[in-house]
This record gives sequence, C-alpha cells and structure tokens, in this order.
Amino acid sequence: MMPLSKTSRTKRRSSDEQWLFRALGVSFFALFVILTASLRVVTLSARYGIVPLEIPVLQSHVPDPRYHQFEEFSRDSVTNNTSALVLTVDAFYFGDLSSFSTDFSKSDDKYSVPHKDGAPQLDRLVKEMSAWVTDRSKRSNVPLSPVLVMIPSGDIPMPILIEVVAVLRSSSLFKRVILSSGMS
Amino acid sequence: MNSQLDSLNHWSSRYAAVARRLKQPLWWFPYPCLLVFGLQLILTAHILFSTNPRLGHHAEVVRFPSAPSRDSSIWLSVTAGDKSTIVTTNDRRVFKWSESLRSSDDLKDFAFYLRRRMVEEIQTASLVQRSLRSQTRVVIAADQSLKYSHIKPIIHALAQAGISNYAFETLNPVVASSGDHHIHGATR
Repeated sequence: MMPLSKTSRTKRRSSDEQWLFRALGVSFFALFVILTASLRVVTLSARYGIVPLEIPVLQSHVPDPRYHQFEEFSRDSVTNNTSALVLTVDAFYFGDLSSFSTDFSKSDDKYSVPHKDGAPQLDRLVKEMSAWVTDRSKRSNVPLSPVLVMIPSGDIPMPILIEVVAVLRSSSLFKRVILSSGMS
Repeated sequence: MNSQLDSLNHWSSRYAAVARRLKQPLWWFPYPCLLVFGLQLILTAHILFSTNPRLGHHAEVVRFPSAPSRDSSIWLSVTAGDKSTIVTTNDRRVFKWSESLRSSDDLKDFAFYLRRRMVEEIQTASLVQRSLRSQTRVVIAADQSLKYSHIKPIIHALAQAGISNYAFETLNPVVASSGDHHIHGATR
C-alpha cells in the first residue's frame, strides 16, 4: 500500500466521521415516521353509521324438504291502517295509509304539523303521532304497528329526510320505515 | 504492439483501482436498501390494513350520529353532476343518468349490476355458511346537495334487483352533542 502523506492522513481522519451514519439512521427513521403519519392521516377512515330503511316484499311459501324444514314467517304487514307520513316543504301530514290512498278526498282523517321557518318540528311531530297512534289503538282497536310508510316530496333535501327517518326510528313509535316513491 | 500494451496497462490500472476501492470499508451501502425496504413496508401495510374505501368518492354525507354497521355488502356513493345523477360503487363502477329520467330502461345496467352483486353476496354467504338477518345489503352515501328525487331511481333499481333492505350512510361526529339530534336545515 502506498504511504499516505500527512495531508491525506488528516483528510481520511476527518472524513471518517461515525456520527454521519448515525445521523443518516436517525434521518431515515424520522422520514418513515413522517411518511407513516401522513399516510395514516390520508387513509384513516372516519366513523360512519347507517339509517336503515326497508322495501316491502310479498310473502311466498317456499317448501324446504330438508331436515330442518325451514319456514319463513312475516313479522309485520302493510295494511290500510299502517301509519303514513307525508313530508312536503311546508309541513308533515300523517294518518292511516288509506287516508292518503283510497280515502284521499276526506279531510277529517289527516293531521298536519307545519314547519317552523322552514325547519321541521320533529319533537312536536313525534308527540302528536304518539298521541294519535295511542288514541287510534284504544278507539278503533287498531293494533300498534312498528311500520311507517313515509311519502316525501321529490324536492326534500336528503339530509332532512335522513334525519327525519333517524329520529322517527329512534322514537318508540316506529322501528321499520318504508320510503315510498314520493310525490312529484 | 504498443497499443496492446497501453490497453493492458489501462485495464491493469482499472483493476488495481477497483481492488483498492473494494478494500476500503463502505458504510453507505445499506442505506439505499434500508430506504427502499422501509418505504415498501409502510406502503404495503397501509394498502393491506388502512385504506379508506371512501377515498376518491366525492359524496359528502350528512353529519349525524347513528348506529354503525359492519355487515354492509354493497356501498354506493351518490352525487349530482351537471343535470345528472352519478353513482359510484365500492368496486369503482360508475353509473350515470339524467335527472329527468322517465323510463326504467335507463337503469337497466345499474339494476343488472345490483342483481349480479347480490348473487355474488348470496354465493359467498352460502360458502361461508354465514348470513345475518340484520344485514344491510346496500349502503347509500348520498351527498348533502341531493334531493329525494335523485334517490328515487336508485330505490326503484334496488326493488328491481330484489333487494329489500338498504340504508343511508351518515358521518358520526367525533364528539356527539345533544344538538346533533335537532335539525338545523330547512326543507326549502
């Protein structure tokens, strides 16, 4: 090996710094931490929930010839006395389903809760529907049903509709909400 | 002859230089490998475990507390375009129709897609022998700017595909307050 001059020896000593590699290691570690945190922020999902709704189906008997002979039963049915709620930009209207179909021309079987400054009064709606359902059950012997048919008009904003459904489902009145085609 | 000697000397000196360099300890060589290994480790981990399926979808859902669901099978993002309704599915299929939709034939492709997805879900449930009564088949992430008239065709398509339960997605606030249960918006 060639003998090194004094200048070269000094150069080699000063360039052979071990702290450089430690700094590199720390830098890479910091880079990975920053990358991980950034990707986590971008890809982390928020917490989402759902407001369930249903589409009614016709009951049909399908025989099951196997050992358990499974049979499907209907839990609830949509009848003339099923509660119906119409949502327009002006008010809520509620009554029996028949009052909005076969008996549409009658005026004494529908009830309304007008919006206040354009905002739905849900607390009042739930109270009045609760009183109506209870009174109907006692007066006309109509069994309490957890099914509600909701008929929104087409220009109702979706956030309003979703929140109305969520509040009605969270009340003790209705557990199953059916959205109809609506009014145009 | 001289050129051959020059060439030999050239290659000898190159060889000596390489031999001298290889005798020197090199401390930098693991770092590029470390960098590549670290990057691919982080990216793979994020792709496998933490990818947000809502990335790339533009529907801004209503902020409202509701019960979470872990069993939804078909997720649809619904937004309004230029006089049209755009539906993007969780497997990146895009369906688009006009706001003035009058015929159900325009929804034929969408209904066919929903039916196909349902068949796949039923086959999967049969194979794993697991099916939940409370399972929500379709979750609709409806943008806040939409009106009910935008959603009606989707409900018709769900009925055509034989789907009887669906749900609207809401964004749960980080800290729920009592005011979250009151409607602040107006119907107009």
